[in-house]
Amino acid sequence: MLSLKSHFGGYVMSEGNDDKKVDEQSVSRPPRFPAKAKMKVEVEFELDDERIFNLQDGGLTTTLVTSN
Amino acid sequence: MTTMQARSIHDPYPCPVRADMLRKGMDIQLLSSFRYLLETAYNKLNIADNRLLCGLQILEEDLSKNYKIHPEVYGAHWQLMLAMKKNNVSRILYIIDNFTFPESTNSYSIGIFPQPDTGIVNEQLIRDTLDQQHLQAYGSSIDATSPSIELVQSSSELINNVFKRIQQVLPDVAAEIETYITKISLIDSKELSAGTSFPVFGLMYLHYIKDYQNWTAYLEHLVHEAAHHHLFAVIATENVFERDSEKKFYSPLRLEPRPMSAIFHQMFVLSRVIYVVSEFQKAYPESIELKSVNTAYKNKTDDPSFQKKFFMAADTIAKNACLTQTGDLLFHQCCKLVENAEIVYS
Repeated sequence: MLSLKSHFGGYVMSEGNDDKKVDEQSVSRPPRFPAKAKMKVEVEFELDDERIFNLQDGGLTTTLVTSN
Repeated sequence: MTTMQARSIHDPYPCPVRADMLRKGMDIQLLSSFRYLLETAYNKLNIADNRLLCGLQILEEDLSKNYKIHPEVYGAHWQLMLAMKKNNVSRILYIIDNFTFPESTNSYSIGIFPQPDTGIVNEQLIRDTLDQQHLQAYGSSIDATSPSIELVQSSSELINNVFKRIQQVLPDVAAEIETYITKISLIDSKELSAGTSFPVFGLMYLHYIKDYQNWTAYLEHLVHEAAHHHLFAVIATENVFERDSEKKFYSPLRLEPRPMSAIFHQMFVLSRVIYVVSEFQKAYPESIELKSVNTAYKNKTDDPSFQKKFFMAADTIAKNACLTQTGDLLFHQCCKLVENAEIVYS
């Protein structure tokens, strides 16, 4: 069972601290695509746009240009 | 007096109850979408690790405790979605392996942007999002560097002081700001004064306070950027436009022409700023700073009042926009609000 803290390590938790080790050990992590092996993996994700919250719709980046 | 009942979505006046409902709606949609993306990625890539799904479940429980989802979660969701749309497996794995859910919050915190290079992935995902958004809008990455600790300290104090003033004069406005904004990042920039990017909903970036500025600059920025958040939450709930075209129009706030959605945002935001400055002038009738509040938003010699800018935007909308009933009602209510508000300029 993972503790609340291990779920929410947040950005205060640095790599390699004790909490992180507990987290790694507690969670089953079976082999999967090894990122470091630089293996070219081609996967096509078929996404249902209806289920995605697209925060670009109707939105825009709003910035104010400094007035001198 | 704080409003206890939710105002209509067509009503431009701030309302914390309505803001809370809209914010919760945003957060629920975000977490549902994040869950869908994660489950799709895990299934497709045959990943059994459930670290992020467990974290997501706790965030879902947090919503019932009146917490708000942190902009870092919005940023990670956005980056994961982009990576999946591009079928970029290494990027997906990078996010899944390194992102950690921040704790939910019910108040804003003030920090700096960009963070010094600490290798924190959560921050990097926000940075990537802002860079991409600025690249799309202006053709270059966000022009922002970290301000010094001294500038951050003085600016943070000023933001908190201004927020306290808003709480005293217009508690509904303050409550709405707190509902939408959970992270304020101070920046140093040659081009930017303040900004918001919806893929990182809840984040507002503000330039540190400059020597020639006073507290009214932050009064305007806080109200302005929170108003963008509110309108975006409205648009995420109900359509405002029957159709939006690629056509661009003269903007009272920018040098370059903008799409109708941006003009509508400007109109709405100006109505809020006009309302707040007007109420503050009533609360502080002797304040010279409020009478000389900076109305300039762009590098242009002309510097018309907030009201003139509002009616420029309103005129463009009246002549060109194809609004839904919601959009039309909101637009006309904003016009009424501005007609009833008075600002004295020195």
